[in-house]
Amino acid sequence: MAYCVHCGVKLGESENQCPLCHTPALDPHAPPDPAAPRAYPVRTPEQELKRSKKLLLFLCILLFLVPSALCLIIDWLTGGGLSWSIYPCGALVMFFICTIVPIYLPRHKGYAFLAISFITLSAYLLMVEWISQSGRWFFPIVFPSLLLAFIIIALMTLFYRLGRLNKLTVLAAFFAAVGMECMAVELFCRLAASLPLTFQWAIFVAAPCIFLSLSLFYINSNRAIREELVRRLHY
Amino acid sequence: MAKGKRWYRLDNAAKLYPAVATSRWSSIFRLSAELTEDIRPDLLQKAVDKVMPRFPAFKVRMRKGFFWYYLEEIKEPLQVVPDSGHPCMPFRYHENHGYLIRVFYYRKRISAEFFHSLTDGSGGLTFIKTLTAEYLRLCGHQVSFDQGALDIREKPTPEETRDAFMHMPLPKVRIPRKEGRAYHFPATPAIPHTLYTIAASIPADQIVEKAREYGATVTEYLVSIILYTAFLDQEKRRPGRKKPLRVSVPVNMRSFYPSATLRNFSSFINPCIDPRLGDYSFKEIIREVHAFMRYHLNPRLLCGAIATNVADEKNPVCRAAPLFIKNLIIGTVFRRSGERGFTSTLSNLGKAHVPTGGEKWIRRFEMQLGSPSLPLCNCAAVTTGNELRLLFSSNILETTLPREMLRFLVEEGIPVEVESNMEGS
Ligand SMILES: [Zn+2]
Repeated sequence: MAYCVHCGVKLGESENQCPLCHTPALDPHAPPDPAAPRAYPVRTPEQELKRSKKLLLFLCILLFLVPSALCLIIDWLTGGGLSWSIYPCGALVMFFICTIVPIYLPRHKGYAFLAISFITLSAYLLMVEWISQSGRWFFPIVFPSLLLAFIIIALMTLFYRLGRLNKLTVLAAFFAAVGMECMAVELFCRLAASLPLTFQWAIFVAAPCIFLSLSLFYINSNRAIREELVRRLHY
Repeated sequence: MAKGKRWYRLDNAAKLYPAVATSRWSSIFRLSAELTEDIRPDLLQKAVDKVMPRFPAFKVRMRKGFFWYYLEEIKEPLQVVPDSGHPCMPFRYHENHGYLIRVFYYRKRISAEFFHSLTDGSGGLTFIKTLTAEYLRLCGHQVSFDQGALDIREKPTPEETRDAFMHMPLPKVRIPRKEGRAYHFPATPAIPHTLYTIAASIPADQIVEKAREYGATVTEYLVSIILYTAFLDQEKRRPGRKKPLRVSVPVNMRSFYPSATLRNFSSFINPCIDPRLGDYSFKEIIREVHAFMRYHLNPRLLCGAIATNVADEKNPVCRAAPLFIKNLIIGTVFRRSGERGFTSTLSNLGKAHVPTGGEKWIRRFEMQLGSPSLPLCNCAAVTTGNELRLLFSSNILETTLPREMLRFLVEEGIPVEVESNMEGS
């Protein structure tokens, strides 16, 4: 029989913390028994989201089916066949996958989601290349750029989950990633066009990005500056 | 309507609830009886099967008419189920034969949940008392059907299923019921379909004694503590833009117009203080609340408020509107006013007498209000024997109201014991 040291209320036998202030129940002579039956059944997390997920699924299907059908019909009626409607429909499929899949994936399956998004995005762009007959640009340029971008995102996720990144360093890493990605894209473009491998436009994007990134990393490592910034900029 | 099935019109108060119910929220409350031994589900099921015919007004499903909803008799039996950690989940009209009542068991507790269209707290208490008495009889104990429990060997009377609002003297006036917004405790909403329960046991004699020291009743005392807690919270967190503090207190109309009805027959009064007018001490608050309650708890004013509602219902234009338009209007009005005007709700059922012979087997009765429609914390109190059981229901993560309220009681020298359905860390 413990009392909350904070509130002064007597705690029921099955309470291992004060329900009012969440202070752990402290009674050195009678530690709370975790197996003791609860006074009231405790919430089970599986039950709670089932309904709202169903509604969401319904809404997403509606959002997906109605515009797709409209596009197909308009395309068919105006052109007598299917031409441009493939693009919006493909985009909708992608949107559908990117919104629905994360809801149904169990928590902490971020990498699976990244992989799925990567595959669908690649498939969509490949399809665009194939249908539009606009030359070969997917494999030489888009695919490696996209792959690099996803690898960077995956790495950042990993570091964030490992607790190596805070708000400031996430921002720093983001700028560094943008800079690197730009440089990579220019390289891939030049490779595809058989041009000499130098940087022209990418350097103008990358330089400020990398400068920003480095300053952020520096601020992060310097406690005095960090505190000064927090003091001046807190809101 | 299928042939041969009885049906009921919704009473005046009941008409609001289906119109504002959604899949996320509807107005529900729960009454429980805690016994001294573990519940036997088979006997409880038998007891439910025997008790339900005595309560024809609860054996109904919600049906849509063209102009109004109505309640239609259900022939199928009601199943008892083990209690879940999700009290007062919205009813779905197509599930469970459409029953608007559920019966649960958990360890030593029998609980019944009611959709508010069926009945109010008083009708619910009658049901849970009758069910508990019958259950204990099936367990082989000598318990009689008295002290508010209905004798299930008798036939239901028409008086029990009638709309008592229509049988009271209603004045032909409309009382304006404009009430602005009230202060709400700053809150973080919990995940939908979560209802946190904090139960506090308080010795009834001590709290009555304390309330008497202030010259007030227990309800007035508890309302004053809520107002005082909210007052201090607002002073601390929102000193800049203050709002009035208002507590909604359901009133059992049966105490003014004796009626055997098991359907809705209650009204509300809303004691209020306005900190924009100046500071309050606890003594000042309790004096004001006491005066407010004395003044407003009179049949004339209560009838006036009901007459206004009935006049809306009887309004020819409103009556002629199809159901979906009514729902739209009622829903809009409810969302714009509704619980925004209240800091909290305190429903005090008062003393629940235990059926004779059950004293040894029944530890307590308790009432829990369902999830509020806004992020709020509401409370309900029932006194059994010398124990006042106060149950807080909230859909928010913060525990400001119960914490400050119970700490206040402890500081006043009244011992409090708490239990909850919250997971330990
Ligand atoms: Zn505490």
